[in-house]
Amino acid sequence: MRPGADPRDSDLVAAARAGHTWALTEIWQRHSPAVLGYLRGRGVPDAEDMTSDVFVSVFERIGKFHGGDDDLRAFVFTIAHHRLVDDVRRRTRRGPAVAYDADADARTHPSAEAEALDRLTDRRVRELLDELSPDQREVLLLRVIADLSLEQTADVVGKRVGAVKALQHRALAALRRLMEQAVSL
Amino acid sequence: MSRPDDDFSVGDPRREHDAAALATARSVLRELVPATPPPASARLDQMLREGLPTPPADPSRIGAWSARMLSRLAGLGVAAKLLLAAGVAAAGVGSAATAVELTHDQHSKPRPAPTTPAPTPTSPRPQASTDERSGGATGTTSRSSTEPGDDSNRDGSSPRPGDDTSGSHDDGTSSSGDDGSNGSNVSGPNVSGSDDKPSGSDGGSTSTSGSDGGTSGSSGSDGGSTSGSDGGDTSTSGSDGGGTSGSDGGSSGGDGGGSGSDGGSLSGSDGSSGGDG
Repeated sequence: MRPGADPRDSDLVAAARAGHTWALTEIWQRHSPAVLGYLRGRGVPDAEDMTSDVFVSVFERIGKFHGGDDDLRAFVFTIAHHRLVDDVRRRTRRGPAVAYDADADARTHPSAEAEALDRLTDRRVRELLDELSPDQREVLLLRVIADLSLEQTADVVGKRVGAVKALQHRALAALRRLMEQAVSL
Repeated sequence: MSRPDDDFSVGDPRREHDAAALATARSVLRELVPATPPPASARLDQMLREGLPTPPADPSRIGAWSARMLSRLAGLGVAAKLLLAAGVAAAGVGSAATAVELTHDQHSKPRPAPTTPAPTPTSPRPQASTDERSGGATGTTSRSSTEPGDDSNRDGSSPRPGDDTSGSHDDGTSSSGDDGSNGSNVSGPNVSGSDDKPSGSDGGSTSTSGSDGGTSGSSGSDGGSTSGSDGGDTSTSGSDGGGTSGSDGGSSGGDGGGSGSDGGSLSGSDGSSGGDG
């Protein structure tokens, strides 16, 4: 039986464990946009496919998940972070990517115009993020897009809270400087 | 959207600066987040429609048990397998022999009882054997008077030529001391009577063999009832046979007859205990 309009994450996890598909859909709809934004901010070329892969892993492991309402988001982004690291390693081993062939791409998009606009904004934001170091970018994305706390971010990236604070401070300073330069130009 | 640990407004100008920068970064980076969820992949879409994949069902207990036993058996060495096979074969042979013997006993139940054995005049016997012999005699008379067709009559009272042969046959296998007198009494088993002496020692020595005692025990007790007094003169097994059969015959003929077959199977062990006594 589906609860109210805005069920908590713990209720969703319990319902998903009980086999209710609506809970899986709700988890997907609630957290997948942030995961997609996080992967886009990290420059993943096929961020949407990886988002689906992340949630497949989340649903496969949701039986082992223990935590409260705020912990499901951290759990999802932990899996996303590991998936991203694995993808980076795989791409490093695999070498340069093959050129894109539009005819062979069977994927469809709901709105081409919206996608193009998103690509423009994504490109501008990613240009800013590319100026940051990988650790700074990681911490900033987890803190801003994933909306994780300092402790949760530290758990995801495997660093101490003080190190995360320092990385966040440097990332914000660099981002502010870059934005001031963009405005002055 | 700020978290509780975002304590940038605590008076530190650097942190206040970071708070403003964080707000700006949020407004910028939020552009990366779409308003709607992305299209799901085929696998995820199937999972969203059908639910979580169920784990594979556990195999049945019997199947798991048999698989475990087979794996253990496969892990045994050749010698262990041979020993196991030999044990199984010995158990099968023993059970088959027991079944055959039981069947033989059932068929031989209406068999007529042997004639009363004549006591051996040469051998002086102890008091216990005299009592046993007298008990056996009373048991014989009572049994023969009450139940002519009973097994106890057949065992304890009157030996007949068929029983003599069986007694001699039993002597050769199990308790020779008992039937050694029979062999001397009856002309037929003279050969077996002569065999009884060495087989008496053999019976004492091989009394631990369960299968042999089991097969020959029924008839051995038969001879024991008749020649219990006689067997006491020569060997420990003779005294045992007399003890068992004498007590059985003295107490109740039915018991003696019933224990004729059973006591015969236990004659080997009884022989050792009789020796102790």
